[in-house]
Amino acid sequence: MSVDIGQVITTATTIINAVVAAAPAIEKGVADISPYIQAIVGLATGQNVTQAQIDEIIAQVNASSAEFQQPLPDDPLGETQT
Amino acid sequence: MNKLIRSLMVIAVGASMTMLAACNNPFDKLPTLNIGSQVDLNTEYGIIAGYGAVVGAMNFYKNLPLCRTGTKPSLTNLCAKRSVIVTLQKDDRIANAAINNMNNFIKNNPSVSPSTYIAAARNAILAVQNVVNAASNEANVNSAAGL
Repeated sequence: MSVDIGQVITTATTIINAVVAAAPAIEKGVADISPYIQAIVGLATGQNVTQAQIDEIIAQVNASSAEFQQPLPDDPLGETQT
Repeated sequence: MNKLIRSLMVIAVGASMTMLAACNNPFDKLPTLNIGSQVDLNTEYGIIAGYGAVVGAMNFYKNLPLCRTGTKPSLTNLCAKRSVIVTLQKDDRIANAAINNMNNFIKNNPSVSPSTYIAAARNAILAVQNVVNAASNEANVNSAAGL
């Protein structure tokens, strides 16, 4: 079985370029999710929750949800109809 | 004499018991914990945190560039499908309402079982999670197919 090194390098480069292009979104995604993972870990380690903590986290998720609910840009030319 | 001493001892012990009962119970100083309510709070917190992680993933997805018409998301084409985002927005509205309903119910009815609200919130989050997973799987399948 022969391997086309040139093709492998091309594919790898394409993947790297795609990931680099998406890096800000990836970084933001990790930052957005981290507090919730920490909260779940806290529960798993036996932490008891207070109503104040619930008020805080519900405000955070509502803000994240409101961000997600922002409408997508219009696509009058049909360029992103997927 | 022995009888007198014994009587005095009985009186003394009785008086001590009475005094102890009259004093503040030392256990009153310990913090109290309503186990049922605490379980509900912990459960609620876990569900909200899980929902938060899902919403974070959805925002991550939405922040990717939209896939161009005629293309498919894959490892070499990291993009988000408009139709998936629209579906997620619809499902998220349901999940967010369920989360807030659960929160309001538990806050306003601390002694009533919130199991119905907890189940509704869990199911709504699972519905969102399934769409996220399907979108992720599609990208993986396309990548494996070399698209």
